[in-house]
Amino acid sequence: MPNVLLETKGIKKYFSTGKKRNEKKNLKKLSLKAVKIFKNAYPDSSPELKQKELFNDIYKQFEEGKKFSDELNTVLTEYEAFSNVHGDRLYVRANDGIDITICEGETVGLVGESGCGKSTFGRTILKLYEPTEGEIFFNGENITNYSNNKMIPLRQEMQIIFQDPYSSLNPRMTVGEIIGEALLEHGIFKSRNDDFENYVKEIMKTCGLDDYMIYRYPHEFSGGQRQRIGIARALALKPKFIVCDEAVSALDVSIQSQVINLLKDLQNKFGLAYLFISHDLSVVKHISDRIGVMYLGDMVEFTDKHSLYENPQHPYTKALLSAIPETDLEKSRRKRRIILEGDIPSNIIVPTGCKFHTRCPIARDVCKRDIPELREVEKGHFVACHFSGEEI
Amino acid sequence: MSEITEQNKGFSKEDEIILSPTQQIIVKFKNNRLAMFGFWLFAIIVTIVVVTHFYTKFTGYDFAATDAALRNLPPSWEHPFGTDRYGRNTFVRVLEGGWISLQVGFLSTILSVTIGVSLGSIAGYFGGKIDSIIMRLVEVVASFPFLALAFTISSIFRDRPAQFRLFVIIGILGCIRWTGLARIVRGQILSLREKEFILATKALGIKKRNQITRHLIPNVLAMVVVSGTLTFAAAILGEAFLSFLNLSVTEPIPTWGALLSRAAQNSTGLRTFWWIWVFPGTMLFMFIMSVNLVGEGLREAIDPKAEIITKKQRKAAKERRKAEKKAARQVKLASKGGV
Repeated sequence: MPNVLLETKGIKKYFSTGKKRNEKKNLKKLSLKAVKIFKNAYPDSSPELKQKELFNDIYKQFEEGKKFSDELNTVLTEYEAFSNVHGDRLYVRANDGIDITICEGETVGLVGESGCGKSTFGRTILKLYEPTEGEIFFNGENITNYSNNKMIPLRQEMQIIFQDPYSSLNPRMTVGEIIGEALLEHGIFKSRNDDFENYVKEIMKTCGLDDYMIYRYPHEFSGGQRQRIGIARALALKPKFIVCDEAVSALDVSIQSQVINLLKDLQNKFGLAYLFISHDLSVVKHISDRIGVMYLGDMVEFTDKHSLYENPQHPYTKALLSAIPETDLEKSRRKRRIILEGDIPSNIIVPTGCKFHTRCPIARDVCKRDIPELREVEKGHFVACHFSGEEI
Repeated sequence: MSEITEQNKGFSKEDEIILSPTQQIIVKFKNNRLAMFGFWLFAIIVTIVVVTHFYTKFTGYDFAATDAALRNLPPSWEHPFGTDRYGRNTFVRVLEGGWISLQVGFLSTILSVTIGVSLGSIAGYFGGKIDSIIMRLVEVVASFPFLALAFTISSIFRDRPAQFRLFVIIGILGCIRWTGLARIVRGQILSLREKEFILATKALGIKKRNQITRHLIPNVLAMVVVSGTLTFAAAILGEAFLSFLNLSVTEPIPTWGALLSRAAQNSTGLRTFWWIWVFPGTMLFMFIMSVNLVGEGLREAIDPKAEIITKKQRKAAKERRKAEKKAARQVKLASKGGV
């Protein structure tokens, strides 16, 4: 069993929207409905009261524990639920309690559709964003409450490669400065001497950049080369753990394969661990050892590569995998595509119960009520579904 | 095709000239004709002014000495810029007058740029409460009436020596003019702060101080240089303006502004004795222009995306244009001949 490098427990990251929940319309609609039902049931009770007063009267009685007809009771219960959430602060629930374990020298892939919180998760575990709740352990240390200054020595061991190679490099710095800055900052080299320059050149060579480019500015490079500068910057500190935040999504396919092979070589050379965030399933399949599938801020399935691709358990994973285009014509004819209806729901006002129930082909009543837990169905295979493994 | 391959034969990566960033800036600046013109003008004026100042200091030149026999003489070999109505040599007075103007310009610009950039970048980077406190301070300072303040402070220090009053003026100019720069820097840094490369510096574990000084400020430097040169010119003009109102250093110490002020006191003198105001006015104009040209050149030189056009390329382009014109003329002639 390899050593656990990074572990998270129930990471939650909410971004405040600065707005409050407004349910006035729903409340009014429900109160009208309740009054209507009440009047039908008791046609001659206090006809002099106005609608609003009458409803307040009914609601007061309901709160005191009086039982009405079933129909009226359900409406009033609904009214109570809405009035409880009315005026709550609204948050974007980017991550809603995620547990993950990453061992030394392994690659964990993270897939999911746009806006499901993959990148936020990658940045939160590096403490670039403060987590709202939950705990992060790095090398056995609880780093959740570390201040920025206390994090600085740890930055040497955890790095990130950004998605956009254009905005992630300072346009006023030469390549040498970009790569070498952190080395000087962490005191690995004391000054800009020959040793320092040779080290930077060596790192550039490892990442497929020629050493004569050291004095060039980022705008003189193509997108693929810029991405390599970003990789070289992350690698220069010799970290143990790198978050690749859609590191290859901005590149064309030939460069993608070069960069991925480069990342694999470096992993073999330095024993790196990666968290590989992507929405490209074939890339993730190529590089990862274990894969997590995310949906709307939740981890829905987490298992090793083979069991995910051969034996998916969660209906969302099944739908995702069925969308991979097949090059074999025979296979593609036999393959049945699962088409999800509707759009991804809002991650501000999330669906109740299982977040996937609005689009799930096998959803039942229990899915609307209860939030499924991420449980181990086989060894090392975690699924968050009430009916995991059921045929669609 | 064959020509190109022949040209590229034997060209390898080792042949490429590698310039460090500083060298690139120097090369770009040197190849900017207008900036070099401004630079030389600036250098010449500064040298002359400094040399004159120390020459008059060591020879004990008396600026207060008057001579009734030499009143209002036009320019001649003996008095190249003529004499004023007290019979003093305007040439020496104009050159010496630059000394005060230069001091005011440099010191108050340094003061206002330092305050403006540091406060603006702190406000932009940290945001929140710090930002609102600093921006309220900016609003308070910006709403000071400059002239009233200058009047009050100058009259308070009326009895002090002239040199002391000069530094008071520099202080006033510097402490009032930083607000615009602070606003510009804050706005720029607010937008830069959201870029990914700042997040990357955080991920690399760079200290906040270095994030501001190494990443944010170099990206707003172009604005700072432009704004700095404008402030420089405005400070010299401001000093001239205060001298004009008799609020700066007093007689007999000359400044460009004071010289103009003396000339403008008498409309007959202004019309008849043109040499009294033309020379200090020209010096002031040339100096401020040179500062602006140097600033513009610097801004272009520190921009890594700006292209270098060397002298050789400029010559080649000129010749190409000439040849095109010639060819066009010949075509025209030929067509006329054909008709």
